[in-house]
Amino acid sequence: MEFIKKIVLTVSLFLTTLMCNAEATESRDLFFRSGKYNVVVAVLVILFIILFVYLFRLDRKVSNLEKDHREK
Amino acid sequence: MNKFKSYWWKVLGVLLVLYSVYRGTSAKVGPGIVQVTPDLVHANSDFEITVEGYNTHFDHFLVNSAKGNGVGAWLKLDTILVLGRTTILDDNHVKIAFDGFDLKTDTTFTRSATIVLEDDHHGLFLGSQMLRVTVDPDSLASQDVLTSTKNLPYKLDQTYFSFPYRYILYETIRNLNFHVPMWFVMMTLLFISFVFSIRHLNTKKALYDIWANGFAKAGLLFGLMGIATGMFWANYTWGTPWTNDAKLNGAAVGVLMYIAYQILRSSIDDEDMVARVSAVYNIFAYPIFIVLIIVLPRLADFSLHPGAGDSVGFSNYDLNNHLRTVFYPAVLGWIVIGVWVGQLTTRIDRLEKEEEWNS
Amino acid sequence: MQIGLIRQSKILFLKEIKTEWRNRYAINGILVQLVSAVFIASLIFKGIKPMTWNGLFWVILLFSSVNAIARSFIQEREGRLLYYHSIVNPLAVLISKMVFNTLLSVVIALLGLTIFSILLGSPTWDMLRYGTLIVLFSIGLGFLFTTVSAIASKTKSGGILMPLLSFPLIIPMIVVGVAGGVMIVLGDFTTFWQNAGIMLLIDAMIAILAIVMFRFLWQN
Repeated sequence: MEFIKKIVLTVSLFLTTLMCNAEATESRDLFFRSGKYNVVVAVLVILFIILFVYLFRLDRKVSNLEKDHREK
Repeated sequence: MNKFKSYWWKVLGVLLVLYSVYRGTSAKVGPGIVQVTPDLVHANSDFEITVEGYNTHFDHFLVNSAKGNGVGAWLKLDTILVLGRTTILDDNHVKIAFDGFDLKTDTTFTRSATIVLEDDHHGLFLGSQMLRVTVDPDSLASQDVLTSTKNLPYKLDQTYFSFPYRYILYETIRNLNFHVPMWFVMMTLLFISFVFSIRHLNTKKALYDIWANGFAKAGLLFGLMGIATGMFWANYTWGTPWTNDAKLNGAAVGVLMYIAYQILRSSIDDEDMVARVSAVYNIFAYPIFIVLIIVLPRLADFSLHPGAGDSVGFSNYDLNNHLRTVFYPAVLGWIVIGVWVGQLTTRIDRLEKEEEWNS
Repeated sequence: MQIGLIRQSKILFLKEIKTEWRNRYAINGILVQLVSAVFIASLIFKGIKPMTWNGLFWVILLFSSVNAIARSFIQEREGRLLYYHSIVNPLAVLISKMVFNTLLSVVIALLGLTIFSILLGSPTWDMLRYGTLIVLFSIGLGFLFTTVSAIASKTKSGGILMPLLSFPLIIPMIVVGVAGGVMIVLGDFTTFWQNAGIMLLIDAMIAILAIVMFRFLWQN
């Protein structure tokens, strides 16, 4: 679990740096093209990513509960 | 079928959110005026302006027949309406020629005028604050330059469902349906948490504390969702992820308060004490939060968000109420989803607690 | 031992003052902190603009007051609180501490204003209105921080949690205070009564909430 966490953290940090660098050129183009429609898409993606991260946390809690339940 | 009775509202919430996502992403954004060149004209002699539109589809009307091309244009200066002749340049550009006119004034003045465009397909749309008009004094002229009444704009309704066009927002006006409901959800969930805290102090039941905590967590989640989406949206419209805006600060402080609430809970050992002290903090925090979001916008003289300061409100730019038919279901749907998330969190927390008590 | 709430509060209040007087180092420490904060600010900022003056003053005021008031419940020994619990009305404890801390924060604010004016150049705006706003703010700050200190005293790590718990709650008052201060600095008094009124309302709300909620914190 710790391992996965570390990997996710590293990858996301890496991606953030990439996005920051690319912002001046590519990503600005991407989000300004076609009347900024991609901003709408990105907002929806952010919304659901946060919601899903929360769901995964709930899922982990339920798994722990199940484990405790079986051990009894 | 009996089972359905207990979760019908969750289905309703999912359907409402799906509807708002579908409608919010697929419906068109209506026409609007992006730019007028030149932005300063002299009204006493004939003048020509070029209007750059957005989503205007002028090519539709390119049959420049003798009767004109189907695109009507007016210049509105205070109470005066002047008819112009249009020539379509391309899909998003139209050239408008106006005859010079005189006004009854004593001094030269320069004022902001509104451009009114109209066609069969889109109906009427406006561009205000984009053109300034200078008029020289003329004491002999009459005020009334209105052309004959049959040339007034008349097609107020659009023939298709569309969101209003807003300056610099373009397509991102759709985000109103996804970003703004988060704020409503946060307020609702925190209010539910507040009510459960009061009930806990009144009855001393541990269950109510678990409910209060679950809904506070869910409220925090939706607060973070609102801030994250808001920052992203702001970055591509206002050019900066964080402005000193009243609504933004209100949401941020709300999130801070409930992060403090979570830390408070984790820093007490005794379980009864956790419940009691955190309930007291919650009952303190929520009214102050409400005061904050009522007071803050009133102090700000300018806000980028609608409904505060001198920024225009909802009713000013949603002329045909199309935005509302998506926005209100979205708010309701997300509130239901929020309550569902809060309830799930609470149920799991409760199971955890029971497991602890039993072992 | 049935003496009235007000008598009890008065006795406890006098006791607060006596204890503080005996351990003068605490009060002196706060004063030294206040003076050095203002002094450092005066070293950094030269030829300060009125708007910055206003902003800086609120920040220093806030941070000085937190440290002064945070001690009230957190520093009380467990035994002494238990002793109070058995002999007096819990409200009397709260009221005495609230009055004492409010007095303390008002003194800190006015003293801070004086030192600030001396070290960072004397302001040219209406000091009577500015002072009123600051006193109203200090009253609310005293009420709020006393209560939050009572909450923080129930945790394992009281002192560290104090700013964390209290800063989000004080933000509405800071916002009203800074905005009101800016208006006075600019010489515009049209919104003065509105701001003072909002401040007074928040003060009253915090006082009522504190008095209603305190018995839940107190019982053991």
